[in-house]
Amino acid sequence: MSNQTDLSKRSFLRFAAGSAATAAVLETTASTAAAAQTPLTSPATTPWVQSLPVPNAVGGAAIAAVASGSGCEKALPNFNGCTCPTGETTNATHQALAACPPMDAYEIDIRTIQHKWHPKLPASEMFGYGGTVPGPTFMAKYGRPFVVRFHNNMTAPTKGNFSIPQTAIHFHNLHAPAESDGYPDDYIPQGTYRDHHYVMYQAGKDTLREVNNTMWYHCHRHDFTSHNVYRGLAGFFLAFDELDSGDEKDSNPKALRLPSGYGKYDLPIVFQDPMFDASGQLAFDPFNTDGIIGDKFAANGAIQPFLNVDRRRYRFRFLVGSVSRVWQLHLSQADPKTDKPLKDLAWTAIANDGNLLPKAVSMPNLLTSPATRHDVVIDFSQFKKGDVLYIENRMEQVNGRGPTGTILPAGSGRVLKIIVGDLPSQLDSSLPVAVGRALRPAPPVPVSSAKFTGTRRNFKFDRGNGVWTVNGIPVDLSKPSFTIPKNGGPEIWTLSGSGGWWHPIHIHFEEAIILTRDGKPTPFANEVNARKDVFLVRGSETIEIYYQGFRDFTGHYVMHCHNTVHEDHAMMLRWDIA
Amino acid sequence: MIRRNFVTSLLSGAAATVVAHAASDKSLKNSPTVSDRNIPDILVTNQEGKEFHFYSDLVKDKIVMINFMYAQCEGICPTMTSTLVKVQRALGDRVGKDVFMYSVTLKPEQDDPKAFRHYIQMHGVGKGWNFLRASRADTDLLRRKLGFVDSDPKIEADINQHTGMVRIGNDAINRWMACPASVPSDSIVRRVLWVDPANDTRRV
Repeated sequence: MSNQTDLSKRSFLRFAAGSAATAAVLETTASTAAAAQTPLTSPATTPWVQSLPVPNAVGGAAIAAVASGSGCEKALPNFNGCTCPTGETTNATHQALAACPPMDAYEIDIRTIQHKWHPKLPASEMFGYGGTVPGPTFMAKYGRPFVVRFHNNMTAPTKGNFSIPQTAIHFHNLHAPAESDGYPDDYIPQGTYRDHHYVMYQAGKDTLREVNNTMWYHCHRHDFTSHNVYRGLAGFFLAFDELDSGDEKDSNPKALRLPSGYGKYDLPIVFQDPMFDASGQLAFDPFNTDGIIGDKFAANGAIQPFLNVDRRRYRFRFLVGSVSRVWQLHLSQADPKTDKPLKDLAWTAIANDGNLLPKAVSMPNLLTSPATRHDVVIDFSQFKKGDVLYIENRMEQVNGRGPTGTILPAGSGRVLKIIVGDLPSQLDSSLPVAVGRALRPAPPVPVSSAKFTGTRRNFKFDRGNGVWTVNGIPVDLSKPSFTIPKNGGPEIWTLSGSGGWWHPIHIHFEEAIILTRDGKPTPFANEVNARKDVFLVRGSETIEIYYQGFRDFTGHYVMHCHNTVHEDHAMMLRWDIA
Repeated sequence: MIRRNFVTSLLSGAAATVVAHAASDKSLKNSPTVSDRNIPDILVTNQEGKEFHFYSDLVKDKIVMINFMYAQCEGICPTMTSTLVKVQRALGDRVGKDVFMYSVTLKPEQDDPKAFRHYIQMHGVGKGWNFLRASRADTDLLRRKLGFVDSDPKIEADINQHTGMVRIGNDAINRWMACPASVPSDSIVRRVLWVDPANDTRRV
């Protein structure tokens, strides 16, 4: 693959030269520096030789559903709030336990495991929630609160110069009480466990509009998030409600009947860009504070897999699980014989950050970044058997600063090969998703942000003396930067960048709607009235976002850059709700 | 003059590491080899004039904290040093025994052992914390290898914007991280404890 070779070459230069700034410096230092350290060009791998793996769903082998409907007291005899025997939690109690008694309880065993990214690479030493990479997929339902007991049975890694065998677990961006939010300092020491309680009700109990359907969970260990997520600590978390019920045959007239059938017609895919050392082990660079850009493209823990599809509608739930890379995803049809690109197809986008849009929109491509989710529907009945499509990332990026500005040509950056097969054995029961189809109504936003009279907060994401900062201050978890009154009403927050750096900013707990990008309405159709929790600040851009409020729970939360290298080097801020 | 050297050295990149700088001081001679890890085994001299190989003598199998400074800095260095002095006091007699603190000068031409000793006295630096200088080229190599580089050449060339990060690592188990020296000292102490595997089983 020529595009793969190019990618490797660029990556080689980057590693050889550290973070040197100009092409001239890159060229000058490459040969000498390469001799001084192990070159980090991943071994070659043949694409399209393995099928796309699908993570196990809850109830599969990886997670034991220890009880269903019987409440956690029976399921977990030791469960009594959070007074765990080891006393590891910083929050004394679960604030919503009495109001939302758990109906299900799960236990997750977190282990050090061996994972093969490609048949030709040796297994890499990784961490896995439930012992798999990605971790098992939670399938939750609004109205069914549950508890999870996370057991940290990880052993210290013996390979690589990164990671700590501890984890805090953030269900990104579930409406969770603070003590179950995976606050970075609420980490689970080795050999101990921690219980999280998920209330499974919508923010403000707005059961129609404040629903998140596609989420993920990942390690949030303070200062080691980039290391540990990269080493495997991430999985999907799907939640279903009356509209998005996960049943395309649903007889409820309110149900949208989107393509369903987890792992078959409803496919979560996490895109990542790992890299490997000469021995084929997963490699990382903890000495790089700009961002990690790997030279392999992977989906669900497999390098460049293929997917055989039936000729019917599919729902894909895309997640970028990269450390730092910004992606621009294209759907490209290729000539099955020559593999040459034939034409691009538009995406039919139905959700942004896991939140169903007010209506389905057409997107020529999907600009996306770490932690962002994009749900799309593709109708493969328009193709014939043997047709080939690729999901391509055409965004060129060679360092943590952000994309180069070059969009690579069609046929570049191929991540996943889709091979169109037969008609499905059963009729497609999902309803068509034409552009413009109404999905989930959005909560209200002010007509003009200039006339907004509520609380405003401004945040600048910056760098000074090599330190990543928010409003000039590096992370200090010992006290909140500010405290928001619970149920205190709407707020407008302003997020600004500087220095040409791109920052995917993630704000925990509540979803917000983008009002403006640089003072104008967002140019992205899938951001219009879309509830989001990751806001990609591109260079010196300023984004205004609108919150309905900070509802229901109290405690400590964070906002941070989801280029997790920036996050781990202090680009994070604690805020509280009281 | 110094500024120009700094820039020149950077722009010539790692190639400069094998070019001998005109320096009569023995401690400023360049090292012939680097280790195969990220930490180069450059020659360094401490405040007492003792010479070490940076990786093999000072880092190998140890828990270390490494920052960059220079004695005459009127920018971030005084605050950084004062925070790190608090860290040193909190760690007590572990410093110099199983936790090792290194401050590497960004102005090796100025910061000789005498200047270091003066600085140590002025800031109340305790025992077991070494102030180090290497050749100009080795200093830049070390800084780059430890990840304290700015990809903006203007910032990279401006010594007033030099790194305020502290590299914290445990070479024995190959666990590395970094944090700003401008965070509260007790949070830096916690980070030092985090690279010690003895603390993996508890919250510290």
